[in-house]
Amino acid sequence: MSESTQRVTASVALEVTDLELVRLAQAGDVDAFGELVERNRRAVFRAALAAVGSATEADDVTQEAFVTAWQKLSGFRGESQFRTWLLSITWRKAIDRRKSIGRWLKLAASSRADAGDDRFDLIERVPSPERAQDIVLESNELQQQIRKLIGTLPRKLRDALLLAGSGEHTYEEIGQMLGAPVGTVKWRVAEARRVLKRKLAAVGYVHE
Amino acid sequence: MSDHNLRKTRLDDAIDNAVRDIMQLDPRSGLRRRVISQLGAPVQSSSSWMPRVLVPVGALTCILAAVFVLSSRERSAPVVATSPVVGPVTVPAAPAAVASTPAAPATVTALRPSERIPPSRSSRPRLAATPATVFGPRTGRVAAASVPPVPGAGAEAADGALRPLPPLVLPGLVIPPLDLPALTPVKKDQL
Repeated sequence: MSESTQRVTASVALEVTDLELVRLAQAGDVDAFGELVERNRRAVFRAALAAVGSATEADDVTQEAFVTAWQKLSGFRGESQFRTWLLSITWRKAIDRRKSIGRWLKLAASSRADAGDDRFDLIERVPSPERAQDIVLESNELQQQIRKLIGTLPRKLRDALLLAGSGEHTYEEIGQMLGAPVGTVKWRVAEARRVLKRKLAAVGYVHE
Repeated sequence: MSDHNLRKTRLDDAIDNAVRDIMQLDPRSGLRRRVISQLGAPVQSSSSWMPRVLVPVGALTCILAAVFVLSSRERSAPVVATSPVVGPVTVPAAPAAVASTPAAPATVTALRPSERIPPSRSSRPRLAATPATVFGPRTGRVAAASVPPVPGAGAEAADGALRPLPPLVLPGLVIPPLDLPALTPVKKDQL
């Protein structure tokens, strides 16, 4: 397939709505379902990641969720968004996985925490170059501390915080997944942040 | 900006960054290909086959347990039904009368509420409440299925007198009539 043909195919695919792709997939069009996989892979993966906390597990859950969605596709009547329906399947799968493996991600112990991947833009806020070095070190430590503390949050708060921070899900979608109203989801996110700040203050990160 | 406000802002940002850092991962490449390759094949994960096996087995076990419980109840029902009422009714049973009707386990038919002897036609004192009167009229269906009918048993109520009953004999168990003193009516002013 030439590059121009690929470009045309991609632009046509973008114009087709999810529901149209679903109808095609319901008629047995595997390629249409493949397009749905492509469109929703990140949202599905991150929902799974929020629940199971491990990229490997989340990958498995993502694959299982798509296969299950294909198997149940005939039951989808378009009363809700395909993506919402798919995310509900994903969340159930992920929760099953979380229960079966019986462990929650060790955020602080993960290798990424040790990688020193600092995204703070501290130089702009801290004018003193002598102090900058200290604060970068401090912020690395702070990141690790926050990861640890996120791992200790109650599940409901943690799920809401991570899903909201994924950048892939609306509050409505999160509410559908968690089975809670949007207002409750928002409260849980805010409460998670409050709890984190309180715990950070307890270990000396806030001086009043 | 004060140090306190700076700290607060930094904390908020730090939380945002930590969450973003945790969540901003992508699935392994080739997901679409992997999914499509699995679409034809049945899912073999442990979480999918377990319910398919366990649910029917569990349902079958429940059904078998229910059948067993029901059948064992049916077997034990006549004993439960007759034993509480045999005692009070057979109190005045004379040994001779027992001997005269040796194989007449007519306890159920004799105690049906519809055939109970009216107090005015009997000199016997009224009996205290029995399970039959407390729990409503007995149908006798269970007992009738397991107790053979006795000729002349229905005539007991017709002539207005209760015949003494023989001991209740079950396989491997003999329950003799209770030996209780006869009750005599006492007027209120005699108390």
